Amino acid sequence: MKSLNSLAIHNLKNNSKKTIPTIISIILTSTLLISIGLAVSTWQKARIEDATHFNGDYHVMFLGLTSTQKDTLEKDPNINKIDLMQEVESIYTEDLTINIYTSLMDYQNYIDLATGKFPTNEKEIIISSNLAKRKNYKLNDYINTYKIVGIYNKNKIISNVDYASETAFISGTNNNSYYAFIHYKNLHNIYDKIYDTADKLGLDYEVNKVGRNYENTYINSSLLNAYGKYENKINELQMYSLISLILYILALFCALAIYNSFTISLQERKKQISILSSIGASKKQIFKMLMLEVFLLTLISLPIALLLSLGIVQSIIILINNSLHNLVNYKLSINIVFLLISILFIFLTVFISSMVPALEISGSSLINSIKNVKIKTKKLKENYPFIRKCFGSEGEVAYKNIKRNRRKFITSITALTISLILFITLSSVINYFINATNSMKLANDIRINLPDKNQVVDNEEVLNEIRAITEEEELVISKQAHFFNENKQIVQLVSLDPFNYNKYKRQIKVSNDEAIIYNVGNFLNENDEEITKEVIDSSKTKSLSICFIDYTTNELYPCYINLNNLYFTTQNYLDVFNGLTYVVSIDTFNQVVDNYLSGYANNQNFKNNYSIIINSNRFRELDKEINDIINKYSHVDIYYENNALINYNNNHTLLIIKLILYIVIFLIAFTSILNIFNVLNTSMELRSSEFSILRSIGMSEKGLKKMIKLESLMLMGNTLIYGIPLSLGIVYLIKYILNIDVTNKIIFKFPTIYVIISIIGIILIILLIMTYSINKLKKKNIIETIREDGI
Amino acid sequence: MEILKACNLMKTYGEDNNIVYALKDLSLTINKGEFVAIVGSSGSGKSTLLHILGGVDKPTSGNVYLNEKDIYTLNDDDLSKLRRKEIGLIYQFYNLIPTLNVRENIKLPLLLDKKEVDENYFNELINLLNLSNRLTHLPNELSGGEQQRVGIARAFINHPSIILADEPTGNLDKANSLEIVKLLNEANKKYNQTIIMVTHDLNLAKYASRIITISDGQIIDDKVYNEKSE
Ligand SMILES: Nc1ncnc2c1ncn2[C@@H]1O[C@H](COP(=O)(O)OP(=O)(O)O)[C@@H](O)[C@H]1O
Ligand SMILES: [Mg+2]
Repeated sequence: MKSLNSLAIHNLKNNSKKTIPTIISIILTSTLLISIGLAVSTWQKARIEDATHFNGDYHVMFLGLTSTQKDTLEKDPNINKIDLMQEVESIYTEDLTINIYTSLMDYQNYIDLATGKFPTNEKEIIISSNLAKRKNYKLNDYINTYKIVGIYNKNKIISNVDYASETAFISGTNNNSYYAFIHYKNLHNIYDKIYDTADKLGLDYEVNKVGRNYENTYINSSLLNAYGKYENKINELQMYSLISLILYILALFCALAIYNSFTISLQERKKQISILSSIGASKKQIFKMLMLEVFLLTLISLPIALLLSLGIVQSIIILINNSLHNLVNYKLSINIVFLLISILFIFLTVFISSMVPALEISGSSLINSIKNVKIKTKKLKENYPFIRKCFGSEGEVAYKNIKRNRRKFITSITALTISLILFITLSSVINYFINATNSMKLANDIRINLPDKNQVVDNEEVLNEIRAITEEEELVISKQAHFFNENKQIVQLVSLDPFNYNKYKRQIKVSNDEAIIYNVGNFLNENDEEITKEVIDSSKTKSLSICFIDYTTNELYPCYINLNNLYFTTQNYLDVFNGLTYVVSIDTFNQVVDNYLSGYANNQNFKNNYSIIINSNRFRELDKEINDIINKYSHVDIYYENNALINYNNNHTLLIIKLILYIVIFLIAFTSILNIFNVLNTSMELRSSEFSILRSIGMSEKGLKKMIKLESLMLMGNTLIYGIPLSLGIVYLIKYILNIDVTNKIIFKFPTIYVIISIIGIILIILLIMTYSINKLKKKNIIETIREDGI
Repeated sequence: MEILKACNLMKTYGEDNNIVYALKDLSLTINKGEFVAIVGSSGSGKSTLLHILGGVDKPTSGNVYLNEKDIYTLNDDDLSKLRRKEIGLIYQFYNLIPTLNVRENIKLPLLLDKKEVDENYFNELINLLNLSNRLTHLPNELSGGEQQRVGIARAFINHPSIILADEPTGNLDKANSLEIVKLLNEANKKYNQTIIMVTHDLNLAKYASRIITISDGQIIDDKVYNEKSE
């Protein structure tokens, strides 16, 4: 045994050329698997960091707890850590409320400090940068009796839900109720543990779609989801079944590649192995020797594969990071568990896939008996006139050969079918993601809102600044107010600046002073697809009406505008409007605000709120200029959104993601072709002596061609017949899994292109192999080919 | 009557320093109805000669005439036709098609020739070769001797002008070997079938009507026996 092992090592050294295909396929498949492991662990880590960054690293938060409930929590054996927080007071200023909280916990985990330090006692306070900006607070200023010691960018404790309130923190304790941020010891059955804790606290719940919705409870589900924990069992099942399906397909893919290359390398060493067995090596010994060889090959391949995958994943990460500018910053994460799983997976795949050819060549009695049984003494008709007519007598030989030698034939078909399935499935799934990225479109403009809340500066002044930087651009300045019509549909009342108003009128051919009604709304049809249709019946609506809703009584307060000349249009003006919009002159707008709305809300605010839309190719330069204006008027609350820039960045990223996905499709196609080529080539090679015998008893080259042609046709036909429906089935299955319990259902599209590509691909490859092997046979001497196999 | 004639056959393998002369200017004539045994030590060039005579290997120089046709001037189609009509080859390792059963293997040359089988002749052959109850078996279900008998039947089925057998008994035990050679002898007499058989067993060569001895790619002895000993 020892000597055979050293023979295995000796073999590797001397036959390094013959082991190259095996090494390459092991390296390629290992690289694929490790890269996937690295990419998944990097992505998961980024998700976890993202979730932690935005929501904090706690698992669940309870609010409004009494001190008895707090004690209950401390007795919960599942809980690892509890961070407690309490309300202090609210300070009301003229336009906003400052809610102050206190805690003894380590704020570092929850608050991103911008400047200063965290509070250390109940007299020190940390406030948000937003509040500092709005109220012009600086470090060491005082809010009532609290001294500002720090300013933070973002807190993960209290999310700011409304514009009129801000959050600040001090340190210490008081007698108020508690907010408790809970970390459990582990994430096993985490949702059950949370339910259990909430039950112990005596909290009520409602059952909703995904699970239980407890009162005063906030589950940090984005963090838990990032760890692969879903409240909805279906979601979890969906994720894991998708992962296993993909792993399964990948494993098959890799196993096939390794099986092929190992078979080829063994084919070349058939002679050597039979000599070994003739001098007395047992089948078991030969088998062990071959497996040792594979093991050593894998050991050699792994470090190379590891380096390759690190390089690939790192470059993809750099590519994505660069293209996303500052939006995300992925970092390569080498998760040992993932790595070990990948390596284990590689060993398993390599062993299983090389075992079959090793058993076969070592002449294991098991495999032999299978082999012998499989060439069936099938009763076949003497003659097949139809086949003889089409393909000649050679065709008949081929047909009988296939009928009797189903095992070999089925092996080839299986290999071809798997490659086909892989190609169609993976490309369709990837294609789905590519399409998904295509549909992520945003409006392509720059929007600025100038609200008027007791502003120190006249909005006109800011407007003039904006006008100055956009002299060359398309600029729409409008005033907008939102109301309802009699059917409680939301109505946008808009006045455009005179220039744009007149232009719009010209565009839709309105000459009088009419009210233009942009009568378009987006609705969902019965298939949950968004459709665009007219909102109101233009033949029935005779006068313009807008209403207020008193939310306390839910009553409508109508106020009619004296305009009977209504003009309905579906033609948008520079994509300014969304939904049902009444476009009126500035006078009408002011008239409505002044006369009809006095007494409701702060009508002055409506009147002086400006909405500005800029369409420009200079979006990057404008971004800087607009930000300068915003900084100049930092005390004015200017809302600014540069969709053009976001779109530009997104498109850039999408382009790169698409590129990567197309590269993946290409790699899959390439490997599939290689696989198919190997399978066919091996099966042709194995039969070359049979072909030569036929030649020697008088089959002409033409006849041989005919015979191989028929066999190829049968292969092609069978592969397509099995492969395409199976692939479509798997594609449907994946869509089905992805669609379970998801509101945005994926609409299945028949992967026409990929089906066509694969049909053409299969035909081309088979034709190629046919010509290739026929040419190879031509070159060879008949008698030599026969001899090679006879030894 | 002269049926096969080989003139100045040369066959070399390799080049320059490694050149091997398998056949050295070998000439030979075979008459119809002869049962020729070619004997010689291993590596003397027997197989090379037989393959060249059978149209499956090409001589480096020289000509082979079968029924006065120079076979190596034919194109592939015609040479293939000649192989299946005029020549029957029998190998040491039987070389049957594993997926065809006995009947189909035997009829294969006819099938390739798109000729109908002469059932009488077929039955006669399988009776002679004692294969009648093996017709639906596949090659791997047969013993070595049986497989070789199938090989012989396949070689005979087309009434070839000449049968070439390269150590047809090389892989068989003594009893089976004797049986095969006796069969060849019987067929030779019954159908006046020309047969060339390579063997290194002088006991088997005795059944032939002519023994050609080759050494080092050359004929060193050529004896005709009119009365064969049993
Ligand atoms: N393919 C080949 N390459 C090189 N030498 C060969 C080849 N085939 C045969 N020979 C050489 O030609 C000579 C004759 O071989 P062969 O006809 O097989 O002999 P025999 O059948 O009498 O044993 C031998 O010396 C053999 O080594
Ligand atoms: Mg020989």
